[in-house]
Amino acid sequence: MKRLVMLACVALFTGALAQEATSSTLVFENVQVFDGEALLPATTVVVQDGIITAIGPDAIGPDTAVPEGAEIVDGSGRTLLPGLIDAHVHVFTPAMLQQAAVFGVTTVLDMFTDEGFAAQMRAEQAAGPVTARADMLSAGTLATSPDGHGTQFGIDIDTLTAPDQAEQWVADRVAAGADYIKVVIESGEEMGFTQPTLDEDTVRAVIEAAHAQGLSVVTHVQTAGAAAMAVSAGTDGLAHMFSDEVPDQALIDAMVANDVFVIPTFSVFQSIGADDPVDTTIAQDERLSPFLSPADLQSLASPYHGFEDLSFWVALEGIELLRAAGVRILAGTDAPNPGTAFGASMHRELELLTQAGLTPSEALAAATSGNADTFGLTDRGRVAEGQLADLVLVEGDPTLDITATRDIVAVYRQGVPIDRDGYGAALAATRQAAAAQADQLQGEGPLLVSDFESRGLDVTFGSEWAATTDEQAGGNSTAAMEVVEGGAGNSAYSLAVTGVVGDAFALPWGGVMFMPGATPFAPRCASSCSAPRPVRSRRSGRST
Amino acid sequence: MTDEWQQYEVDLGTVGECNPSGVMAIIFSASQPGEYSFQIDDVALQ
Repeated sequence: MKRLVMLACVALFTGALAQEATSSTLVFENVQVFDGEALLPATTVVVQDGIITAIGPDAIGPDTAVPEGAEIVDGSGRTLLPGLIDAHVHVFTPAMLQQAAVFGVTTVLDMFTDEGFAAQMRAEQAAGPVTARADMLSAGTLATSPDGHGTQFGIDIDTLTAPDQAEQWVADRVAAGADYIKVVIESGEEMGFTQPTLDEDTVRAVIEAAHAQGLSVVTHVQTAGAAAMAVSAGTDGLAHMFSDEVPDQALIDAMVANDVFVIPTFSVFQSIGADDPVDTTIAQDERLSPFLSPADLQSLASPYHGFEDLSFWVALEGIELLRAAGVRILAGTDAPNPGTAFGASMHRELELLTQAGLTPSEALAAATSGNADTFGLTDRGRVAEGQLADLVLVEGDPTLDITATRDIVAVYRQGVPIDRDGYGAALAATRQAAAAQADQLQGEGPLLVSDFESRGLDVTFGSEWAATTDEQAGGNSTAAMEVVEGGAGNSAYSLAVTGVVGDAFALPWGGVMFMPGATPFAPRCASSCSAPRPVRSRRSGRST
Repeated sequence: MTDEWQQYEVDLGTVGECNPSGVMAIIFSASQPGEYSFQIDDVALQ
């Protein structure tokens, strides 16, 4: 007999819609342009076959006719921006990239995922323009100790214990296609626990090996001490702003001297301190909320985490000091960690950067040309001739009001519009179906999912039963299911589940899964949303 | 669990940090290494 467990919170959403190319030529007329560094007065921008081909008042004029079949976009009162680049995310599904694009984030820099998944995304991008989602660059895995930070997520990690392993470790990352290297320095002490972490000699060896291979290095830190170690060891950048104390002058001088950049990831740290509140502005912003899934709303309402020794306000003050000293500040969110939502949180990050003293233009540059230049993306990050037409058109002027980036008119990936309306409509349908099901649950008695009396796997709502194992997380467990004769209460049939739970994954499982949402992995309200009440899942079961 | 049919009720609001208002999947699984076998019937929410 094996222990039977129920897991009920799985955070995935799929549902973004691609939109076919509708025109090979776009002409934005009378539009203000933030070119990646500064605001240009109202002008004309021409895009042909996914590339920006002309900018300026004479781009279309007496001597240059509007190309036949061109789509004309009125830019009056609007601003055209380079597609936003999020310099710190973790991507596990293509749907996350689709969601990012809906919110104007057209490129993401992943800072740890499964290397196989990263390779798959790279291969798809190399095969041709992937215009329905954001492009993704990735570190793939990360450099950490056995049982160190990063190993808790269930993804198999090639860990290190000594400097002499660094050269081979980096060579393996090069072979896996890493676009840059991610290193972790994290003892956990500032969060009230201890865990193994790389020593400075090993960190330095990894950084030197990466640089020898032409790869830059971004280092995870959360304390000033860890940041000082990373800078001393030669890191190119910090993946977070530390929040235990503000940097002292020695650290500031070292960062300036070594041109070390910082990706503050304020979005995920805004609730990190014991007294830091959870932000609600993104979830409540009507310019963004139609495109937020229930899972996004749940994440945005989740604190991260309330640690006594850390403070968002310390991180904010620290960035103010670093920015004043001339340290490069970049824009990244650390989505999809608690408190964030893919794509949407970049708009909050821009706002928080301005609270740390950046001007709106500096914040916009951090999320566009700054990220592009730092990570060697020469084909994007600017509205300029020859650049990819990854563009965001917004109402108003975000160089005056940074929150204007949320008022998106259209997003383009290589000149192809992202189907934001379709994405929003699919979400609305999901919400509507969930509300209808919630109404059903308001009734008397239980709502039957399956009694298997049809001799099939069908369900009365949601998605039909499916086998599930830890294979998706790198495990080797198996599961098979079959409707068999003989059920509870002398009924005719029941569902039999058999398999082997393996030992290749730390938290193994094998069994069957029911998804109650209107679409697979869409969240569903399993209680009364208007009047929450305890919910019970009634199950009859037996082991054999 | 036993070799006979038993009825179980689980209050989703008491399962870890689960928020019943956002349930995406309900999984019946074994988690101890080795072979397993079980049957389920009459699954319902209320």
